[in-house]
Amino acid sequence: MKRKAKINNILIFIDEPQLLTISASRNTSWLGIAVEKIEGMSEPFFCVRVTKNSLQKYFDGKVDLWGIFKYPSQNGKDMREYMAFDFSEISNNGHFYLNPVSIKEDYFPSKGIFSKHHTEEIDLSLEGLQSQSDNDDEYTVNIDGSWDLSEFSFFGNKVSSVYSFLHCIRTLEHANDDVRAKAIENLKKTFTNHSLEGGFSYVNFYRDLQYNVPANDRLEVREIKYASPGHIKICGQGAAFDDLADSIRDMCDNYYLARNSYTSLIRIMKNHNILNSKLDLKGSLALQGELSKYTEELCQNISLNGLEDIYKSSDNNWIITAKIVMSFYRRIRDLTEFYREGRAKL
Amino acid sequence: MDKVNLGKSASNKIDVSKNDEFLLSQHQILPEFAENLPPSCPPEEAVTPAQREVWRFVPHEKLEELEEKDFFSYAALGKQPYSQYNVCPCRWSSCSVFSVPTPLEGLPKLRHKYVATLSINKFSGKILQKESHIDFWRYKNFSPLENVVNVFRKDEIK
Repeated sequence: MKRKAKINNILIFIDEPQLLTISASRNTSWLGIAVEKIEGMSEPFFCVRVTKNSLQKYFDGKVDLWGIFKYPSQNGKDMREYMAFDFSEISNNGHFYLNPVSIKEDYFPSKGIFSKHHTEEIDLSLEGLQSQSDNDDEYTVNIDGSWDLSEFSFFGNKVSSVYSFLHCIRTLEHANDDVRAKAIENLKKTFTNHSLEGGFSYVNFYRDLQYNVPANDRLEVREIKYASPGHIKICGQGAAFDDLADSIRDMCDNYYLARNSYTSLIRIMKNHNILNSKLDLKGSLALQGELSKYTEELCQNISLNGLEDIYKSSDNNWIITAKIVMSFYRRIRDLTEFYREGRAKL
Repeated sequence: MDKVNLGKSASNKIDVSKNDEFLLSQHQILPEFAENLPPSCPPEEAVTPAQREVWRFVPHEKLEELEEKDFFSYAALGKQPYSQYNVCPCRWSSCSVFSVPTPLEGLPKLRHKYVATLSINKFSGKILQKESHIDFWRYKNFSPLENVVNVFRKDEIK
């Protein structure tokens, strides 16, 4: 899955940037190293996700660059996640996308390069090493203003639905081919067993998704501090939290674009009388083409990755796929309202 | 103000006195840089080097295969700094060399390169050193090819 990111610091500059620190979703830290070649990129950087703790150790000279690229683990937990990006595609506002990458041994630095060998002075405060919570499996929603009890419940319910959906997609993304095929078959039951005619069919769909999340990854409220400002701390799977943060942020940024894509899908479905009908048809090729176009557009606007997996899990049916993506959009939209009102902050 | 080239050949024409550093610092003599540099580049902290040898990572194994462009900055090579974000135009216009054997040779983009030993002095240009890395802005009359001492594979020094 792609991740929106930006450069914090250039650490080594030899004719051009060679080593960078990057921050991505939820202010997660990454190190990016220039490599010779990655297919489809003109100035490729190979990146590894690191905990703040590991990054601090690297800056303190307690681990070398090879060590942090190979074994960026913490407390025995494997944190390795590798991505890549093209330096030539950094936008004017400094943002770019980290993309999944197949790992090659040649991408890794040799042993013996330490932070003392950096060529650049850096601003450590940009790395958030002093204040950032290092608990990757915790998601903090900073809250402000006035909240009714029912709004807490509504907010929690939407977070839970969105999280469960993203967790399922995430699981597919990282599974090997065999596990992935089986997981898609299992998910098909959930994706196609509901009529998706409206109302409770969607509620049941998301309830089933929540049951699909393994017990150790299910959401738990760790702490609520109701004050102005206050916070809600929830724990679950870190990667799904990253996706959640990406979706909320992009939904805030692309609110009207996403609404246009959604409205287009509604219009198409109304025109074809499939908005509230049972899902026993696939529709004409032209209809499928239209639905796929606007569904892809909607996914881009709300940073929902894994559309291909959603489509496969929907029995290769664009009507089901579009309805599921639209239902996800509605939940993210409802959540985003709290952020747009300033009562919740990323 | 007159410009006087202080390259190797120019040094024969000028009696560079003991106070040449003073003259340089007072801008009485303005050596011309080989590349078009952005304003305020090199920075004030840059100095003229004492006689020394430095390393330059190059793509060729043999001395005779080296080209002048192997010592060009990325700006001179016409490469755009991809994004203006975080890239200083003055750094982009410098040639990166090293003071000593450096572990940075183990970076993925440098791993397959060779090392040219380059002899420089105060007439070669200006440098700014940070740890083993040196930004080098060379003067127009300094020919890097004429000052390469040798070229070797990195594993030859181990």
